[in-house]
Amino acid sequence: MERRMPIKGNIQKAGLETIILIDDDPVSRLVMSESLHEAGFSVIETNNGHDGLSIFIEQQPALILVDLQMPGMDGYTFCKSVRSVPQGQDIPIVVVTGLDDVESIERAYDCGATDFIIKPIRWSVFRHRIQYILRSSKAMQSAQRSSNLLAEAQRVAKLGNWTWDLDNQKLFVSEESYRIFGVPRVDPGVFHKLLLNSVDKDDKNGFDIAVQKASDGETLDYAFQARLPNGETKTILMHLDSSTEHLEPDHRIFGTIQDITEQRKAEESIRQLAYYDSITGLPNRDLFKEHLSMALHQAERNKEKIAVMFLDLDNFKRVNDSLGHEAGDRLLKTISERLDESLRSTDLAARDMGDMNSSLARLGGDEFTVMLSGLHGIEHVEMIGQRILERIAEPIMLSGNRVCVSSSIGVAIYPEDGEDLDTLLRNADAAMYEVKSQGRNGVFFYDNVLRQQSHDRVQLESELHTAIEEDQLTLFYQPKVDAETCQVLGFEALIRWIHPERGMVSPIDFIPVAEESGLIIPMGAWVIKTACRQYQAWRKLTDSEFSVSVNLSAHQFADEHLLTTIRDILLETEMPAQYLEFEITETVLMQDADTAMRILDQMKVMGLKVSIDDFGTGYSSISYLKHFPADVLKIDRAFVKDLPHDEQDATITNAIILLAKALNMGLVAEGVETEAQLQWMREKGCDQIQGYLFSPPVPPEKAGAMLDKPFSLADDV
Amino acid sequence: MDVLDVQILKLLPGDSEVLQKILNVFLRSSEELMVSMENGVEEHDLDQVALAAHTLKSSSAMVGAMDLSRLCKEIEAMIQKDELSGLEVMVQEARQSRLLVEGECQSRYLK
Repeated sequence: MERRMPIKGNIQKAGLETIILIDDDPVSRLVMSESLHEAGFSVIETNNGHDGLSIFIEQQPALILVDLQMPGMDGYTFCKSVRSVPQGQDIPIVVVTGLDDVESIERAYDCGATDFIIKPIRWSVFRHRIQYILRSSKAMQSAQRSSNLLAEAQRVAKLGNWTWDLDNQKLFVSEESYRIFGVPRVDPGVFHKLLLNSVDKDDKNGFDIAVQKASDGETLDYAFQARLPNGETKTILMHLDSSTEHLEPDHRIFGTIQDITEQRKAEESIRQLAYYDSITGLPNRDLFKEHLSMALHQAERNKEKIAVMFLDLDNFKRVNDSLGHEAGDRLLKTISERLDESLRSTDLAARDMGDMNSSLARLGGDEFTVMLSGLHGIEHVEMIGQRILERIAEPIMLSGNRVCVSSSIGVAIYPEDGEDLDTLLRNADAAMYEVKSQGRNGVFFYDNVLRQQSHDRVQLESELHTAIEEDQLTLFYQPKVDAETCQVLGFEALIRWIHPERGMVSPIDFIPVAEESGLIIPMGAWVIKTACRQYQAWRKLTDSEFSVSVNLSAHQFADEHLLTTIRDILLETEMPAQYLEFEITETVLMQDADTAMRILDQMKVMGLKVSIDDFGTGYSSISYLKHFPADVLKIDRAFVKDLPHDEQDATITNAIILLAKALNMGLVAEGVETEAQLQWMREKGCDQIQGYLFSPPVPPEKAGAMLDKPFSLADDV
Repeated sequence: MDVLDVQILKLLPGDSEVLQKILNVFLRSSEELMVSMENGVEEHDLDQVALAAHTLKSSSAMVGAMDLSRLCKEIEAMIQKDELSGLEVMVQEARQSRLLVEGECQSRYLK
């Protein structure tokens, strides 16, 4: 028996707040409506819930007054219906009911009612009541909005806030905190336990300290791994704050928790890119330097030693060139795995090495570094190095090929070989080069390199003094032969050291020491004088013309007394200057070309001959060459050794010959060992030949015999 | 007891014109509700009787017709407690009471 009535009073006055009034009793409706009008509201009335609902959706009123007992849709159903639509979440619904029906109020609340008014209505307070409900509802809505905003902001930031009651072990948290921990809303006491239980055992200590500090009044951040009830692991950043504003008799700290798992992952992948080598997955140079730097601090504090190993593969380039880059990359990966294995097995086997830690990195190319830290001694370092060498040297299958690579390891020890990162790396590198120069596949310690080098040097220097005093030095002579006639035209004097214990010492070993110690000057003078005397001795035995040549080193050439020394020797030995020749390398001449030119000019004035030695190997300027008053170009053995078949060497040698001829210089080919090379030189018009084909450097007695008759070659008819 | 409680009428919102309007609406709707109650008794539709009594209870209280309101409340209670023996008599009493209210309204307020 629902009675419909036309909607009345829906002429909404501008600026007035609208109230919908739903009551089946026209008397109640009228009286309430009158009262609300007096209070300044615009009222829309209806006698049933259905119409009330559609008016609500159309008009978006500020408040709804509804009678609970109505035929058709009653007040309860109406409340539920309003709350079930999106725009009906926040609107205040005031239900009107009788004083004798308190139960109905409970039920109305359950259905979504905001407040209630009891009949009989006290009209004097009715409108104030409605105004109050409206105001508080607005305040609630705005609070809800900001709470929603806060919750939303927290959700986006994965940030939750909390208050920790330390005395009662309760943790009051915001909605997002539950979400971060993947749990439903729980009691503050339960959440307190949950948080404490979630902290990873490795972080537990730090966590407790952070909480302690915060409760002592500090503000700080602490990140920890949380093992959540659902099995997930998250990285949680906790901000702890014991704000002084909140100094209350009870014991509380405040703060936020933030899920930074994704952030950490992103940081981790950036770190992976920045700090790890993409081919082997090993730390790169930057990360290794960080590790080393940290280890150095620790070593300094704990008075420990660190070994830095520099490892270089001996024949990586060959693999890369012959099997391709992909195979090369795979080789590097295998090597890095083997390095890792040998270090790990070392770690296990080396309990007696104390707290040794190892760290491995690829610096680039085929260079790796190994750091052994926490060492108390270095007894085991060489053993570890050897183990690495052996492991690396095992054959590797690459694209069906059995490949063997060896490696060279240089070791520098902290603090003996350097106290800082760069020095240690540089010295380990230097030690590694020492291994390479000594035939590769070995382990070398930097202090050995130094010790050996300096020991050798000091020893050699003192012995060299003795050598000069005790006549252990001697000159050997190698003939220069006319390419056509095979007649000896001259000899190059070459210094030799006949050591009483070591036998013949190579000039390559002792000339650098002589140069560094300054012994080269008296030694050089001795050579010149000896060669001149030898010339005079031979001169007496033969009528044929020949010359003798002496090498001048860089130090001698730079010696301001050089020309005086030569003049004195010429006078003393009565040596005819035109038969004395000085061989000076292209490199020495070009070091200071202008000074060189002046000295050569003076030598010419003195009547001496000059040849340019090792031509073609150093830097040279043709325009200078044109102005150097040199008599002879000596073609370096490097160009000769692969003649005649090496086309490139042939082209270069041919060009040198043409150049010498253009400049009116004589030519000597060094290092001629075969008849084919002799033949080639003859054809190209090279005048003189020096080399094992005719004779190695020999003692003076043997050399003298060569002056008697030309060389005869088996094939020469 | 007065048929209409003057104190209650005084507190109603609006002026005398509004009061007349209210009383006119009350007389019309209370008549309808009485008819609904009487029909309900006759047709044994207790729900209809209860709903009409409930509405009339509060609307009569609103205009200060406290005796009528009390009778409606008793009718509502009888149905709720299923004590139906005196129901018809009680509805007749309510009819009588409403008649007194109408007379009072007509003579004092709706002239």
